[in-house]
Amino acid sequence: MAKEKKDSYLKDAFRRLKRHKLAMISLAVLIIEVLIVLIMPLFYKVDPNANAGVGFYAKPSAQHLLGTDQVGRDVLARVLSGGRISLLIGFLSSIISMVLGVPLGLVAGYYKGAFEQIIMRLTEIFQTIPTMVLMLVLVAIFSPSVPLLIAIIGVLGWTGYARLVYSSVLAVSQKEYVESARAIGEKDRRILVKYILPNVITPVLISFTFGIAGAILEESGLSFLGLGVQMPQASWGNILNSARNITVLSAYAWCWIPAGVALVITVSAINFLGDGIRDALDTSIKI
Amino acid sequence: MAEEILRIEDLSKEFVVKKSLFGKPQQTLKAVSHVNLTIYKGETIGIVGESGCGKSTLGRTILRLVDATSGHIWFKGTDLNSLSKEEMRQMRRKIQIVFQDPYASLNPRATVRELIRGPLDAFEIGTPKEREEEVEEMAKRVGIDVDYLDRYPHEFSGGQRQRIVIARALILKPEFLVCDEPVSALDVSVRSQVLNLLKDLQKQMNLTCIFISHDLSVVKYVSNRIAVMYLGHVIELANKDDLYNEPLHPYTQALMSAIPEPDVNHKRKSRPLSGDVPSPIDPPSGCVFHTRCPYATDRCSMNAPELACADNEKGHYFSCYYPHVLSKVADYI
Repeated sequence: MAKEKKDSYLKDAFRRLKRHKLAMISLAVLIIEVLIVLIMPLFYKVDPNANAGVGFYAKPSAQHLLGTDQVGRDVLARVLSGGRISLLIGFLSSIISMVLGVPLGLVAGYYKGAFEQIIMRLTEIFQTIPTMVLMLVLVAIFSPSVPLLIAIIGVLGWTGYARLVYSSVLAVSQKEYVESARAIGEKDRRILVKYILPNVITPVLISFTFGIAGAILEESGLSFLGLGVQMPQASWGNILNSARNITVLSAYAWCWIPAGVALVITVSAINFLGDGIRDALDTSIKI
Repeated sequence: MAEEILRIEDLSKEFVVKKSLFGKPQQTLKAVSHVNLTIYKGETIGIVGESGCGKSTLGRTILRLVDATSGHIWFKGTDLNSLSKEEMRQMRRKIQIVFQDPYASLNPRATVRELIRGPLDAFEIGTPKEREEEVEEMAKRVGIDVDYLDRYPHEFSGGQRQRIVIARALILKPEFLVCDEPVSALDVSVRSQVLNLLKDLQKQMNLTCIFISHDLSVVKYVSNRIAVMYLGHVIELANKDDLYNEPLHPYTQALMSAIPEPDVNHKRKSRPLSGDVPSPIDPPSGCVFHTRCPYATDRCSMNAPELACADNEKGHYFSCYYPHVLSKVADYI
C-alpha cells in the first residue's frame, strides 16, 4: 500500500484546476469584476438613474469617466449598476434551474416507470417550445421586473439539468456499488443522495457555470428587445438597447461599448472557467 | 443432515429483451429455469457453470436484487419473494452478498470507514461511537490496518478492496452470505488469502454460504456440496468429493476433464465439448444440454429429464436419462 497520503478526488481536481491557466485567469477576472461592481459604487458616488447635469451624450471627462448617455446619465455608474443586476439575474436564475432540474432528473433516472415517463416527456415538451418566444409572451403577460425575469429564466432552464442528470443517473444506477448499496440495506432516498448524487454532480457543476453565462445573455437579449429590465434601472442588455440606432452606434460609442465589453468579458470568462472545471474533473485529460 | 436454512423452490427468472410497441414482452432470456436447491445451516454450497449460465442471477435473485419471475425462496420459513420492499430490506441484516468486482462495488466517493460503516448506518444500529468501534474491530478481523480507514477505495489493491467488501458484508453478522465470484477479479497470488479469510470468518461466525464461481478448483477448495449449472438449470448436485470423483452428468464430466492438470505426463482421455452454449433467449427443447451431448437420443430432445437422485445416502442428484450409460462412461474416463 502507498504510504503517503493521497488527496481525495475533489482536492485533486482543485489542484488540477489551479494548473489550468486560462481557467485561473478567467476566475481572477470574474472575482475582480464582481468586486468592482459591488465596491466601486461606494467610491464612485454618482446616481446611475439621474441626470448628471452635463448634458446629453457628454464625452468622457474627468468627472464622468465614460461620459453620459442619451438622457444625460453617467454611463460608468450605469454599467456598474447594470452589472450587478445582470450578474444577479445570471446567478440566481441558474440556481433556480439547477434546484428544479437536478431532483427531477434524479427521480426520473432512478425510479424509472411512471416518474420517468412523466418527467422526461415533460422536458421534451418544454424543449420544443422556443424559450425566447415563451419568455416574450410571459414577460408581456406579467409586467417585467427583476424578480420575474429571474423566475422565468430560472424556471425555463430546468430541462437541460433534468436531462443531463437523468442520463448520468441511468449510467450510475447500473454500477455495482449502487446494487451493493441496496444489498447492504440502504433505503432508496439515501442511495440517491449518498451514492448517486455525488457521482453525477460533476457535469451539473460544469453545466451550472455555462448556465450563468447563458442566463446573462438571455437577460441581455430580453432587455435589448425592451422586455427585460425596465428603465430607469440599468442592465447591460438595456444599455445596449439604447444604442439601437446608427447615430449612437457611430458617434457616441462611449454609451454602449463599455456595457458590450463587460458582457463579452463576463460570458467568455465564465465559459473558460467552465471548460477548466470540466478538464480538471476529467482525470483522463492531462493538465 | 443439519437444519435447513434456505430452500429455493422452482425458481425462475426471465429477463425481457424485446418488447412490443405496447410494452408486451416479445422475447425473454431465461437466465434461471426451475431451480430447486436446499441449503443447510453452516455449509458452503458451490455453484459452478460457464459464463452466462445464470449462476450470478441465481445469487442476486436470492437477495432480491433482481426479482424472480416465479418460484419461492424460503429463508427459515419465510418466502422472500412475498416480502414487501421494507420487509426485504430488514431481511438484508441476515442475508448479505460479496460481489465479484471489488473495483466496481465500492462507492468511489466514500472513505473505507464510511463504506464499512454503511450497513450500521442504514439500519441505525448503536451510537456513533459504538459504530466506530464495530468498524475498527471488523477492519482488524479482515486484515485492514485501522490507520488506513480514512482513505478512499481507489488507494487500495484489489485484494484489500475485497477485504473491505467482506468487512462490510459481515458487519451486521448475517447468517447467510452469497459470494458471487469473490476472487475472480483478483490476482492469483491474493486469491488464496481472500479464500482463507472467507473460510475462517465463515467458521467463526457460523455462516452459511453460497459460493458462485466458474473456477472449479476454487469451488472445490471452499465448498461442501456443489451444484453444476448449465443454461439456467441445475444439472447435477452432489457432495464435492462425489462430484469430482464420479460425475454423472455428461456436462459435469466434460467440465471435470477440462480442469488443467499440472502433470506433463497427463493425457486428456475425453474429447472436449464441441460447439457453443446455445442462447438462453431460445434454449433447446427437452434437455438443454442435448445439442452438445455425445450421448443424446431423440428422447433427450423431446422431454427434459427431472433432477433425480442417484444415491440417497450421499445426496447425489443429476438430471439425465441415461445414468447407467453414464456411470459406465465415467468408469471409462
